[in-house]
Amino acid sequence: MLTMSLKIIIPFVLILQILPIFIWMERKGASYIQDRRGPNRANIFGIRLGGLVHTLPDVIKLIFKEDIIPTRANRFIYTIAPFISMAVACMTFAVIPWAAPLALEKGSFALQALEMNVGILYIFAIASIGVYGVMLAGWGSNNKYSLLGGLRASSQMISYELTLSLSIVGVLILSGSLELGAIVESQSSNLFSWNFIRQPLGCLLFIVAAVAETNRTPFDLPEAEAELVAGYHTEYSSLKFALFYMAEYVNMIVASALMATLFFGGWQVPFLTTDLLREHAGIIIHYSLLGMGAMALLGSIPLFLYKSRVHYGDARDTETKKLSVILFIVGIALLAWRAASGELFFEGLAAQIAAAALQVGIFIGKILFFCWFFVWVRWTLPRFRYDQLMQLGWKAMLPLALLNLFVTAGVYLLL
Amino acid sequence: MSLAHYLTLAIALFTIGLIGVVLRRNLLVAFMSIELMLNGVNLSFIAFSRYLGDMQGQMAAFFIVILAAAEAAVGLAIIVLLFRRQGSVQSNLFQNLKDRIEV
Amino acid sequence: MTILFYILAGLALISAIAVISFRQPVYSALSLVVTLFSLAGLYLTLHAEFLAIIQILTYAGAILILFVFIIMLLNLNDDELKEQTPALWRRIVLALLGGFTFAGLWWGVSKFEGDVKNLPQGFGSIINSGKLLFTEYVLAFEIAGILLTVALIGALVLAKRRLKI
Repeated sequence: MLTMSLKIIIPFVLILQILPIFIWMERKGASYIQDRRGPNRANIFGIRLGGLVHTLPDVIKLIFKEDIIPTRANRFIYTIAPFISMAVACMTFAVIPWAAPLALEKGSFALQALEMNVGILYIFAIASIGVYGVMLAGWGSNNKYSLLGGLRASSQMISYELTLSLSIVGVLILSGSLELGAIVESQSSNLFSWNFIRQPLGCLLFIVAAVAETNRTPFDLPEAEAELVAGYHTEYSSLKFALFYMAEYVNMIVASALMATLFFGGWQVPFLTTDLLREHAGIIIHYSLLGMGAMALLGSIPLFLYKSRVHYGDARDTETKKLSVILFIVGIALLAWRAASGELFFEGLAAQIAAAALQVGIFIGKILFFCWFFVWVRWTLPRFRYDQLMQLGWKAMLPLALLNLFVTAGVYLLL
Repeated sequence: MSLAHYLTLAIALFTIGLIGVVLRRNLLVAFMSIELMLNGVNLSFIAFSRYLGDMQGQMAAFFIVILAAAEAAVGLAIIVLLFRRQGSVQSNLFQNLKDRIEV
Repeated sequence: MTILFYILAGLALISAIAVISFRQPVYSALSLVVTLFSLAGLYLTLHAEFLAIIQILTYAGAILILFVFIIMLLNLNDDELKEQTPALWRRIVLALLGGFTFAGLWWGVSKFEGDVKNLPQGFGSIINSGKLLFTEYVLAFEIAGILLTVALIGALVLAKRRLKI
C-alpha cells in the first residue's frame, strides 16, 4: 500500500516540478525568439535566476485574482470543466516508466505507477476524456467565442486523435507489446535502434499530431486570440484559469514524455545498457559530480567578472556577484568532497538505485528537450487556417499514418 | 460476487434504458437511453464470460461497442437533419406520416 | 471486492436514473459518462481489462463526445427543452412495462448459478482478445470495419448541407 501510494505521488510531484521550469522556458524562449529580454524583474533578495523566480509572483497573482462566474453561465458545468481538464492531464502519467525495473528478491519492481498490459491504450483512453474539459468550458461559459473555441477544440482533438493513435501502431508492431516499459526495453540502449530511426514517418506524424492534440500553435485555433479572444477559457479567471493553464502545460509534458518513451528510447541512456550502468554506477556518478564541481567553479569566474550595462539601483545589481559566490562555494565543496572520498562504489540494491537515478535524470532531460521543442515550434510557425487544419489532418496525415502502418507491417512480415 | 448480482445490475440498467426510451420526448436523451440498454446487455455478456471462463462473451461485447459507434454516427446525423427541418428535437413534433383522415 | 461492486453498481444505477431524468441533455450525457466509467470499473472486476479500456476509449471518449458535440452544436434553449409531463395512465403503463421487463428478465436470469472458475492466464488481456479477434472472429471483425465505413459515409451524406440551386 505504501509503495503503491509512493509510486503514484512521486511522478505527480515530479511533474509539478517540471511545470514551472517549462513555463519559464516558454516565456524566456518566446522573448529571445522575438528579440526581447523577457521576464527579468521579480527577485528574491536580488536573485532572479534569469526570470525563473517570476513563476512565484505569477502563481500568487492568479490565486488572488477575483474568481468571476458569468451570470448567465451554467454554474456547475462552468466550475467542473477546469477540474476535469487538470485531473485528466495528471492521470495519464500513471503508465509512463521512469527507469529500468529494479530486480528485488521478491521479483522485479517496476518504476511506474501502473503496470497494465493495455499500457498505451490507457493513455489514449484518459486523454480522450480531456476533450470534455474543453467542450464543457466552452459550452458552460455561455459566450459565443467560448462556444466556438470549444467546438473547434473538440473537433480538432477528435480528428488528430486518429492520427496520433495510428502513427504509433508501427512502434507497437516492432516492439510486440502495448506496455510502455516493454516498448522502452525493446528499443535497447543502442541509439540506432531507437524508434525514431526505425519509424521516422511515424515519429514525425506523432509529433505533429501531439502538437495539434495539445492545441498549440500552429494548431491553436481553439484559442486563436485574433479571432476568438481566448477561445474556451475566455470567461475564466483566477484559479480556474490557472487550472486550464496548468492542464495545457501538463498535457504538453505528457506528450513530451510520450515522444521520449515511444520514439527516443525513454529512460535508456545512449550506448549504456542498464547492466553496464549498474556495474559502473559509482564511477559515473563520481566523475559527473567532479565535472559538475569543475563547471561550477569555472562558471563562477566569468559570472563574477560580468558587468551589466543596466543599472537598477537595488539588490538586483549585485545578483551576479551573489550567484558567483554561491556557485564558487558549491563547486569547491563538490570537488573537495569527491577528491577526499575517492571513487564511489555501489553494489546490490544501491547500484540499482544509482543506475535508476541516472536513467530518471536522462529521461527528464529528454522530456525537457521536447518541452523546449514545443516552445520552439510555437514561436516560429504561424497559425493554420481552419480548413487547412482539417485538410492536413484528414487528407494528409491520416493516409500517411495508414501507409506507415502498412509498410511497417509488410516489412515486418518479410523480415 | 456471484453472477446473479452482475446480471441483476445489467437488467436494471436495461430496464432504466427502456423506460427512458419510452418516456423521454427529447430525441437526444432517448438515444442515450438506447446506449444505456446496450450497456446493460454488454455487462451481462462480460459477466457470463467471466463466470463461464470463456472469452466469447467479451468478443460479443466488443462488437456491440463497435455497433454502438456506428449507430451513434448515423443516429446523430439523423437528429441534426431533423433539427434542421423542424428546429426542435422533440419526438412528438415529427408526425408528418401520421394518418389524419379521422380528424 | 464486494464493497467495490456495491459502490460501482450503486453509482451506475444512480447515474443511469439521472440520465433519463435530467431535462438538460448535457447533464444526461455527463451522467451517462459516469455510468460508463463505473461499468468500466465493473469490467475490471470481471477480468475484462481490454473491454474496460475500450469502454472508456470508444464509449466515453468518442461516442459520448459526439453526443455532447451535437448538443453544443444544436445549442437548444430552455423553451425547446420543455417536455410536457406524461399523463397518469401513461405513467402507470410505463411503470408496469418497466416492472414486467425487470421481473421477466430477472426470472429468466435467476436460474443461472455461475461459480467462480479458475481463469486461464491472461484472461481478458489484450493479447488474447487480439488473437481471438484475428482468428476466430476475423470475418466479424472485417464486417465491423465495413459497417463503420458505411456508417461514416451515411452520416456524411445525411448531415451534409445540400446546396440550394
